[in-house]
Amino acid sequence: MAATIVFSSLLVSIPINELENVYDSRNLRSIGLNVLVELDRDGDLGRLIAQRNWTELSRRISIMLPLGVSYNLTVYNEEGKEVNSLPISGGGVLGEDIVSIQYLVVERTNLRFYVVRLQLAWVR
Amino acid sequence: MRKVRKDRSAQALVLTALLIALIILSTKVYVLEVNRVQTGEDLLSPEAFTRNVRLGSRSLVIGVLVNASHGGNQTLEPNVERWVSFAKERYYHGECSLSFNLEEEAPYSSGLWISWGEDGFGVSSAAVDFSLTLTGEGVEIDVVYSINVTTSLSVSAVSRWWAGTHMINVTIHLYNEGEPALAKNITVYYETEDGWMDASLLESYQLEDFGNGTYVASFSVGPPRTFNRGIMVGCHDQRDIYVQANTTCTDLEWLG
Repeated sequence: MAATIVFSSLLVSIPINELENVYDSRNLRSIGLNVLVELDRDGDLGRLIAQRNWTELSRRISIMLPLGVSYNLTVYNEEGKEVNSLPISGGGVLGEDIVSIQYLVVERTNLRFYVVRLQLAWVR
Repeated sequence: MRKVRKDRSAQALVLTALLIALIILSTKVYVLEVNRVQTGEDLLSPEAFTRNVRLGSRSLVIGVLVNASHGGNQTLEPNVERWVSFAKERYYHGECSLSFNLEEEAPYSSGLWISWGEDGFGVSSAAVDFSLTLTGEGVEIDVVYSINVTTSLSVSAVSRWWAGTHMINVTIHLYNEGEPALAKNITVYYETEDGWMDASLLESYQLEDFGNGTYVASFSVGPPRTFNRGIMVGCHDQRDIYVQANTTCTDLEWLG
């Protein structure tokens, strides 16, 4: 019986291990950062923010993120005020394990700076 | 008596097994919780922050050069100072030191070099050196990086006089940081007695794009016969940086 108890606890912990691998938050953080860097590489991120083109920004992020990831993006100006009038989100409601990334953006046309906060979570 | 002792040792064994199982499960849950707390933070790692600052610095230098090449009044120094202060305030792992030096070695002045010459070569360039040091708990990152954004243009033109018409070919090469680059748009002007005329308004105008940063504009201009006709090319690269170059046509007799 003692052996059964110890063995059962090991069996129960294996699925937890698998969950940990599948929903690895660090992977999500890396994915999110890569999406922002790719968007920013040619200045598109700053340009879309300057144009207040939230629909296009949301569309681009949705295309670049893998399936099964929900997100929410908030843009702040240099004074820390929220800039986006509409919610920039997709993929459904964020789950429990939310990863949040803060990223600095330089907008090339008017030379303004922004802070972008991207929240990501796996949809379960 | 022996049976009671046996039962007790069996109970002890089961209790120990339960204890071990509890330790295994609680350790697992603890590891999961610790991971969750670490990844839930807003902060970029120092390495990611470095990457972010480098990319931001590059965008800023491009932005200033776009403005300056269009005749705007933006200069590098105040904008880079703003950026340095903005970035430093947003590093939360520890101390962030970010400094810069504008390129001052000729032909640069205050980090900018804009030269649209008469010799068929034009350049719009900006260069800044940055030094970034991040320190914190177990972190020490020291990075020196240079941002050099250069758009250059080389132009040559040939004019053939045939049947009372100038057949003009203008060969254009565009470069970004010395590498062939694609243009967003190109405008070719030719000189007449009345000033500069836009060649694209001529019916005969054709612009051939070779897809590798090389373009050839062809058009014909009527009399009077003109030697050493001036040609001017204005070009925006994909980053919107403007560059211009002037040259004169090499006059050739028609051999056909």
